[in-house]
Amino acid sequence: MRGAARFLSAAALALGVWGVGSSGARAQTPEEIFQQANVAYEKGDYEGAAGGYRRVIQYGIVDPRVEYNLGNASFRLGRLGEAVLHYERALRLAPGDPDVVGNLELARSRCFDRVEAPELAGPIRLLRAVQDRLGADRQAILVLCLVWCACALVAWRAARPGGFTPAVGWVLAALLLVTSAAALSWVTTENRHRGTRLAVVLEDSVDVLAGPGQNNATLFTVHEGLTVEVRSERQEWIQVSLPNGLHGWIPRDALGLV
Amino acid sequence: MLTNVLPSQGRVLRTAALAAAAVLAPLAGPRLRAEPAYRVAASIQPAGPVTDTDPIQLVIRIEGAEAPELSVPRLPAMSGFRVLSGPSTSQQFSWINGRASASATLVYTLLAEKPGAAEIPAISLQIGGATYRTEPIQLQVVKGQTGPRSPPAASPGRARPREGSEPDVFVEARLGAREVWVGQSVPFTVILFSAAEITNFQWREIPSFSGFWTEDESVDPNAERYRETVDGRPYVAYPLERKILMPTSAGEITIDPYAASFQVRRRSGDAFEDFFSFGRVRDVIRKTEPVRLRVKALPEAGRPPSFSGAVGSFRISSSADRTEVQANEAVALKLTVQGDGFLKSVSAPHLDVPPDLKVFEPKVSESSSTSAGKVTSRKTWEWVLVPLVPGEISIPSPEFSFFDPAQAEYRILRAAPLRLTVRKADRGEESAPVARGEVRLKRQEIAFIKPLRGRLRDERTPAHRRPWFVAALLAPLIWMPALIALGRRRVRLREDRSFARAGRAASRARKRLRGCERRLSSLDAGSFHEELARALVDYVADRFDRSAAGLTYEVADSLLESRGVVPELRARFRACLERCDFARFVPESGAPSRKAEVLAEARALVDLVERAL
Repeated sequence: MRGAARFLSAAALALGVWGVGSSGARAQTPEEIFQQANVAYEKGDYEGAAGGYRRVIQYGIVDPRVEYNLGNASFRLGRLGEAVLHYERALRLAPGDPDVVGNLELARSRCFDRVEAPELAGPIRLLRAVQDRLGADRQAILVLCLVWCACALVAWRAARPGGFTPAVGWVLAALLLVTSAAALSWVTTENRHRGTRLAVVLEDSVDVLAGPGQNNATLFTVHEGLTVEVRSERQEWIQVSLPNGLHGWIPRDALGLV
Repeated sequence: MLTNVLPSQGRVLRTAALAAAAVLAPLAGPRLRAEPAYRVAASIQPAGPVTDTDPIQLVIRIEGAEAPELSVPRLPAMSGFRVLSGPSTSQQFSWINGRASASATLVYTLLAEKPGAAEIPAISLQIGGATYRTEPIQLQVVKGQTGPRSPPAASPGRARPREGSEPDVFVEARLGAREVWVGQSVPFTVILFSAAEITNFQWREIPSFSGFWTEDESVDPNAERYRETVDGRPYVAYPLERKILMPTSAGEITIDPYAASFQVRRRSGDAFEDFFSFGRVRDVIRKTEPVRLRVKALPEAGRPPSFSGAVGSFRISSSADRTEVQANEAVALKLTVQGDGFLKSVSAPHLDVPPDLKVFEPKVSESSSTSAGKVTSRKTWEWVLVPLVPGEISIPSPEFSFFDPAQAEYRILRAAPLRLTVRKADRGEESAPVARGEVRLKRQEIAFIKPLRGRLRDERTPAHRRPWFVAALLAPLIWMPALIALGRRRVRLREDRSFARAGRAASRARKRLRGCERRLSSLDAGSFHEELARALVDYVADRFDRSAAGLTYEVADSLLESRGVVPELRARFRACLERCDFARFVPESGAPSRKAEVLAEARALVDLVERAL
């Protein structure tokens, strides 16, 4: 489905470009548009660069480099909320990328809101840092390699008469233990990253209401660039929660979903 | 006539009365004992209109010839009435003209909850094993006094007791404003107005103030009483409650009524009774009217980003405990906001400091007081700053904004910026975090854009949902059995000589046949066919781990037969051997075409036998 959607959008864009450039100019590939946007960025044309990166995204490309560069262009244009949004998206695609992490931290430091999250225990914080650094995909490949190693060890020893000595048994048990731990870590990371929907405040200042409607009481106010967790959605309203436990409803237009 | 009234608390007197009844009952003769039935009736006192501010008494009277053995009834659920107290009981016994009669009375004190039609349902009583029921009582409750007593002509719709019977006392809730902004403080006072002496004051209902933050102000009713004329009548006003309210949401908010009960001592008009405090005492309940407040939402236009909910009138000040420090020494920057209004929900202003300063989370202290219907708050944030490098550092003062309800606009406050002179650390401080000659970041900046290397990818699909990952995860199911089988075969080839020889038989035979082919033209017919026959015989010898010497055609045939080779193939195999023998001794049969034909037959036979085995 996604492939088909991507093909259709690319075809539509290609047709559009062909239609506009009636002089017979050929349709640009996403890579060419990306390169042009990079050149525009280097020349200081951040608006043009942002437009180019957005065109690449319209092709159905979901690449961390595009999101990261678009985040940079938005940051230069002073659109803090959009910058945080695209850095968050880049981080989802390339967890642990030091450039993305650094730029996101810098963008967040310029945001107005300071929300204190509950302090995690030291070992859990360390484990999460390692998991975030590796990302779910790398952990999946690590699990795959460990499974292959365990199977190869079993096959190698099963081919030999009396191959399963106690030493081999211990090695195999240790290998299975490590594989299980890696698989558990992978699943938790996957759930944490892809199971949690995030959104970023795009407007200067937004009132968070007690319910989905303007007639509800204002609970608190959030500002541009704050990352919130999406709890539920209802038509034009999104229920969000903050790391410090506050939650409420925000108009959909005021948020960008990561 | 003998009449004796027994109060409920007088257990001794009650026992005496019962004993008297027991003694006198036989004198009444058999007629009295034959009438054990009782008459039970419920009534309301005092007669007249029932209001939602005056308690009424529900009187249940039981009459009969004998003193009733009464258990206290359980009242049914009464919607519209609240039981304030009860029951109090009393019993009465009388002897008139030789005829005895007894009665008991239960009295409950009730209060109607709201005006309108109400009903006291039937009440069941257990007397001497029999059940009696009262009749339900229908009532019309009218609104009681919540304000000053109005002249008789001014309240035609309200049933009024006759002049002088209603105590002239009322409770009033007053708000400082009828329309305020969200977050704006508004004073709220409950005042008791009385033209009579009041005792035993007690709150009966207190509203919850949902939708408000409240600050209580201490109040002493007796010390703060004052005289006030309401509707031309002089009253003594007692402030009972004083609060500062802060609405938390926009809209129309209603504060529910307060209800209080107290006793009013009324002057009897008799100087003697009044002097000796013999005036009558009456229990009274009074309610305030519900108070409505319209709360306006704060305007969106002009709202500064630093606004975090402060509404009122504030001023700001900042100070540092010193302006000249050594590098790595701490400086305390204090920012104080104070003024009229609530500051509880206001968060710390954003402090934008240069990267040469390390900033710790601020310490927050807060205080508030209420007086004269106003809340005065003071909130202080204290940051600890540690300059890392020597030089002049300017710290812009944080911005604080609030909404001024008097002007209906937002105001932004900034204290004077702080300038810090940072000197080099002393020699003893050289273990500072910034080492000499260390290259430091002058300014924090975002990393540069990423160039394009290779093609852009679609990384939306996670790895574990891609086909190659699933295939790779399932691949061990295929290659593991194959690897195990291959490994076991290699081990057997290495350790089982006959198995290894049999396994290599076909390849050796084919190798020898290839040698024959290469020398097809160079070998004479005898040598060629001899080599061919040896290749076939050696193949059988290797396959069955036998010595080739002395392996006759019959033995070879029987070996093949022992492994289930079909007779046709065996016959063909033997025919090929015999053809080779014939060709060795009959040279004209060794034409190249014939030799190639025999060679092809030998190859085919090796393949067929190998397959059959």
